[in-house]
Amino acid sequence: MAGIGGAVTTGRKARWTVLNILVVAYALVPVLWIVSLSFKTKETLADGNFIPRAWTLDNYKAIFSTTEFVRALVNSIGIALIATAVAVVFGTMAAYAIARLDFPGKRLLVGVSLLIAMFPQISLVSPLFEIERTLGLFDTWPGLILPYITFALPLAIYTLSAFFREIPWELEKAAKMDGATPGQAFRRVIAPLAAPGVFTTAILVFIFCWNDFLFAISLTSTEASRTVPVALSFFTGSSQFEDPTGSIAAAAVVITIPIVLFVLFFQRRIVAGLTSGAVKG
Amino acid sequence: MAEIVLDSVTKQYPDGAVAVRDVDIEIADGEFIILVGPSGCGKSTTLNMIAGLEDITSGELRIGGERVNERAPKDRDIAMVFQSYALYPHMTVKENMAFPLRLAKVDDTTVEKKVRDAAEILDLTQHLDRKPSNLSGGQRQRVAMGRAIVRSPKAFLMDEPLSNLDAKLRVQMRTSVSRLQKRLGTTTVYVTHDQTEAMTLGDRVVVMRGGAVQQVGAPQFLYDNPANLFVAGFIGSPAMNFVPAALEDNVLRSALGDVPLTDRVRGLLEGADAPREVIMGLRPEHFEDARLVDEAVRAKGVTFTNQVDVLESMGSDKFAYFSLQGEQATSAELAELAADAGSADVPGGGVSLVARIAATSTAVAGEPADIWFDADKVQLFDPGNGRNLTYRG
Amino acid sequence: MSHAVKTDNAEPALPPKAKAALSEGKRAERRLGLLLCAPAILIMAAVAGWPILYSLWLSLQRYDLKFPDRTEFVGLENYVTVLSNPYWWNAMWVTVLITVVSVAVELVLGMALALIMHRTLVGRGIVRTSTLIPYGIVTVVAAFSWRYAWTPRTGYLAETIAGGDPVLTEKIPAIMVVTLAEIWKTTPFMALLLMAGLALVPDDLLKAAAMDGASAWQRFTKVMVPVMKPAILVALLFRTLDAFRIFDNLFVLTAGSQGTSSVSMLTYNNLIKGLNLGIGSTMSVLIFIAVAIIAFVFVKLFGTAAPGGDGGGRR
Repeated sequence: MAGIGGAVTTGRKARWTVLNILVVAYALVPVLWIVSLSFKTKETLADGNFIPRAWTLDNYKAIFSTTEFVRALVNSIGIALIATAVAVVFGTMAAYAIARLDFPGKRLLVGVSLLIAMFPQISLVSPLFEIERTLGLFDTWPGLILPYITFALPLAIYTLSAFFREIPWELEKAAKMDGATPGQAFRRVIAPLAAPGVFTTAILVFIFCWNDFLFAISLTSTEASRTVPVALSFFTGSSQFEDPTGSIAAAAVVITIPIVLFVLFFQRRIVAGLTSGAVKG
Repeated sequence: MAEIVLDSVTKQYPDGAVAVRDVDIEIADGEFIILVGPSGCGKSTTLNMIAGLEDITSGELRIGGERVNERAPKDRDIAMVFQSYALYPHMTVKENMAFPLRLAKVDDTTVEKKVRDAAEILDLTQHLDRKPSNLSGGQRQRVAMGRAIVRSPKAFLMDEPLSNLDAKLRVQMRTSVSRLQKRLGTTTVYVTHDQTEAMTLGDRVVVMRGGAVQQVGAPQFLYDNPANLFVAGFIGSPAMNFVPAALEDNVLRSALGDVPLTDRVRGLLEGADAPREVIMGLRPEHFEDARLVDEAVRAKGVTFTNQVDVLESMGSDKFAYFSLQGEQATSAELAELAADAGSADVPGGGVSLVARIAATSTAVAGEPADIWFDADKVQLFDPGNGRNLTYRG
Repeated sequence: MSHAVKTDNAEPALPPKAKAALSEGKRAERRLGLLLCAPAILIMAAVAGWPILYSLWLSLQRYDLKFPDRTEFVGLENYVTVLSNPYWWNAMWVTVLITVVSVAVELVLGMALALIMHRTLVGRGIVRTSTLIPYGIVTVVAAFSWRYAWTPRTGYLAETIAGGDPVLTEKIPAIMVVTLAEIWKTTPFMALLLMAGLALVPDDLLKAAAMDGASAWQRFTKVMVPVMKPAILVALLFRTLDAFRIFDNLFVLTAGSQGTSSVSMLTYNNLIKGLNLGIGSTMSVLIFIAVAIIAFVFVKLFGTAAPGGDGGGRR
């Protein structure tokens, strides 16, 4: 805690700079480490050096030449995008209703979705494992997309309804007075204003789906729907005696790239999205 | 254009709270009517019911002779101006004003023309392509007005449209709203909590309290003949002074001395079934520095001497504030007015008075002064139910 | 002044039949509301509601996919089996230990981070951007980074801090590493939630406290913390429930060996590796109950400040 008021002295600036560097180091060192591993040659992989002594792209070339990884990457991207799209569309509809409309069962819906958000995912894995095997959804894209949507929906509804509440309520009344039906009020006034919030929510939901490991490892069994986090944990290297460390590190870096891009470009939005619900408390 | 009739309209919320009770108002075609009252009096609820933004629990609302209770706002053909202006932030001024027309599927050339016309009337032509966030408060307010007038609706509803403007601009916009309404001749219902706006703008004023209409009438009539303590205290600035008094034969005994009942007052009191204990109401302008009143006039009133606490010189006249010894006038109405003004728990016992005296008065703050008031202008109220005993109905 | 606030509200309510007449607009609003929520409700009911009930049912069966013909209803037998099993209780204690330690450390660290992000004079954008990296990064990726960092010979930490010992092969050090990984990954989330609370503390309040003679520490404990208490509780609840389901980090770092399994890990092993649906479901239900108890305790602490308790922004 800095003192309140007073001039910004160079001393205080320096102190903050040191603190900030500590924070940045805290956040980045483990990431840089995995990046460093991914560029290390086979020979220097086990030297324990933080910075590679010899640089190579072999690890990346190796993973992109295996169907195991490429297929998993396609699965990851496809599944996360579809789940995000569906969850955001349905979440937007529900959040609009919750924030703006009066209808029976509204509180119940909020309560139940909050319950799901706090739910231990493992509790769903056992019944879903059995249900999906029976329905033929096991080890398919929909078999993962469905639980992702389910767990992303509460996140989407919660974040979006916080955004929607910030849209001035009178605008909708104004639209009605201007002759709009509730549907038109939504499409022409609220939706354009809500777009930034929807976009932010989409990022958060995508990160959630991209991140999942438990469902992906429990509800898949082959390359047909295995996502990258799961594929990573099954990497064994091209031969049985080969150390997979380099491949794992390279694959890990590849799936970290979208996250880094999101964070770089949408830092403000992500912070706003994550904190919007909490302030309500 | 049409007349609007509220026929014993009531609003009750599901939790049982009644926001508006049995309101009967007939608004003539082209009339400018003001709903005024303290916050929570039901004026905005009434407006929203006319708009269709809130359901009417019972009673009937007719616009142009047709029952519209069940119609959605869009089917009532009325426009509304909101306190926050409710401009669509993602649309330009032009798009904002065109929005109601676009929804009504009006063709492009007509939209263009109507928006141009409205912009001209409101002096917005050079701002048409700007977004609301780049406009000043006054400009935003005008855009909101423009959006209301473009489609020539049957009526305008205005919900405290000037309360977000600063004092100077508010006075300026007040006259332009008035001029605009006269020019268009559209029936207008205007909600405000500001009694000055109520007095200056409307053809008629509806004073509301606790969900019920207290009095309806032309502004000057309400000022001169308030139906009860509440209206008396609400209309007028500075507010009417209230002093407890005891009614005896031909005289009122009060902390200001004995006030003789003039013929006018006695005539009005007859048949009014007045109690013995009453509240005497005196407008600030009915006081004067006794030294400036000639003998003949002085005899028609009462003179008292009291220390002046504060003297405010307004230039054209002076406001003198006194504290009298003795009991304060109490009634439910006065308590509510005090609560609305935020003065309910301002410390200080006794009765406070405000007198509006001539600028030439030589009264000095902190010194005693002789103050005269006109006994014929006294209004008497029943403290039990607030009724004006000297009401000339 | 007792009659001062007498308003018409005190008068008897109108007969209730009056409100039966909903206008067209109101009914349209209700219809639209339900219609808009329908897809979300249907999916959540089908993919969360139904499976939960189904797992309750499964937990009452002897149901092992390796011996499908021996499936039968056994009542609470599975619960007796699980609750009398030392592995289960070990996993429970490991989970509780990781949860308590990580959440406690995160609260302190997160608060510091929140204060830095909130008050820093320089480079606010850089600080916020970099703290979002641990939040956003795939847990499995982070876990691999930690695993290799602690792997003898390969890792920078193993050589410098652990002196070349294989820390991940011993129970207590392994749990410590798992907890560390968990803390690293989720402290930013905690910090962001706390920062939202910090933003609610008015600057004037802190100035007033400073004028009243409060030291920086007193301003923090006597002014900031009480004002942001709801935000702190929300952050704690979210993180506690999240930490309790720890799985990804454990899976990569130890795979549950040397008695480091969490309850989620143990359930997964019984279910997917052991293919014992009965026992797996029983564990699922027990974890669900444990989470419900945690949530209940927190909500009791919250009172009205519970998230979602604002019931919608109308009126």
